[in-house]
Amino acid sequence: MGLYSGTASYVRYKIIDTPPDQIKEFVLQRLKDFAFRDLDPGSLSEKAIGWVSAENMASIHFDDMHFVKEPYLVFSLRIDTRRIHAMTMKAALLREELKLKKATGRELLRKKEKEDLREQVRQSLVKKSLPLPTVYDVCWNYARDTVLFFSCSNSANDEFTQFFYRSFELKLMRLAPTGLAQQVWHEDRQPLDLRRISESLSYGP
Amino acid sequence: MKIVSRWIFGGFQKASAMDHEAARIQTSLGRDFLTYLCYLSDSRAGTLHLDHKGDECSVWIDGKIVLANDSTTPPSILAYSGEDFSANDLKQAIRSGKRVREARLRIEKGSSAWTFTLRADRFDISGLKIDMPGAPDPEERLFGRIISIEALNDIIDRLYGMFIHALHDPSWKKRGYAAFQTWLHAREEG
Repeated sequence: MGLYSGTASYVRYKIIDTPPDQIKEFVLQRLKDFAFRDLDPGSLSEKAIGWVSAENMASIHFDDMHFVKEPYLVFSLRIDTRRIHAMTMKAALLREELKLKKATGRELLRKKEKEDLREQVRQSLVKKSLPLPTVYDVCWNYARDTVLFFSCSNSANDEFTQFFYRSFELKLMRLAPTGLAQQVWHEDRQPLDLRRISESLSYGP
Repeated sequence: MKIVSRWIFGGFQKASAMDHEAARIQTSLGRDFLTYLCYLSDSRAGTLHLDHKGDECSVWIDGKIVLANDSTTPPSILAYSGEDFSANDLKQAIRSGKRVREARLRIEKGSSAWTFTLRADRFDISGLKIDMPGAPDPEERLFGRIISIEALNDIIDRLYGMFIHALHDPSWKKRGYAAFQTWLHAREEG
């Protein structure tokens, strides 16, 4: 579903802030600073996010300009998440509850005990679970200040726009119907009235 | 204390109404654009002029279309796929208040062709098939794909620009809208 092969699915963005002049050097530095870092196996973190090479999702070494494909900058966003399946959580929690009931000799557990147990079980499962990686290609046309993000998932696009801003301090505007209308409107003398257009195919009965 | 609460609540209500109106305009623009594209494609045998200098492309519905009317409760949705729908079916749905929410389109321009699904509400492009000869060099293949995607985006921008300018034009109601209505109420034989 990406840029390199097969069918492509993407969302278009326009950079609305002004990028710095030395754009390639700037992007290289920020890709290094915000490169993907693996989740520590013993940690309780459930998510890792960062930039990787578009050619190899395991490559995080931005030590050259390999991502520059004039006038495009091509790299990928990698998000690793540790997810615990609801049934896995339920089974482990019930097992631990039984253990605790046996140890205390009580039939019922207190609310606080149940909450603490749930958190302990969650943490132990998070430590054991393998992170699941997802990779999304990014194609930035720096000559036109446009960016293509190769996923239509709303959550992936939210993660992308936030992380793009954190990394490059540049705001993105999604080229959805309203945003794109501003881009294609070429009448300088007349302000664009989107409300009027939005009602112009549905006059009366 | 009561006044403050009311003021906060009033402020919240106002922001929410503005958001609602922005969302309505967004949805309406996208769906009207796809509906307009279907109208132009059907009434002009698929051939659309991109400018006054003779640059043109062809636009076809490629076997899948979803129409929706969100003003009813629950929203009324109609989906057609394959070969089992005609222009008359689309017109009937549009006359009943539905607009095109998503469509699988085939666009041809010169020797290039693109098949993809365009979702009207946010202009997402999915399932884009790029018809291009395979290049042995990966770098060359990548550039070929990027250039093809950029060319498609350019065509979509031009078609959307055509729609925005046509409906914004003061003569739209008398001429453009009248032509749209004539198409909408004409029944095709066969």
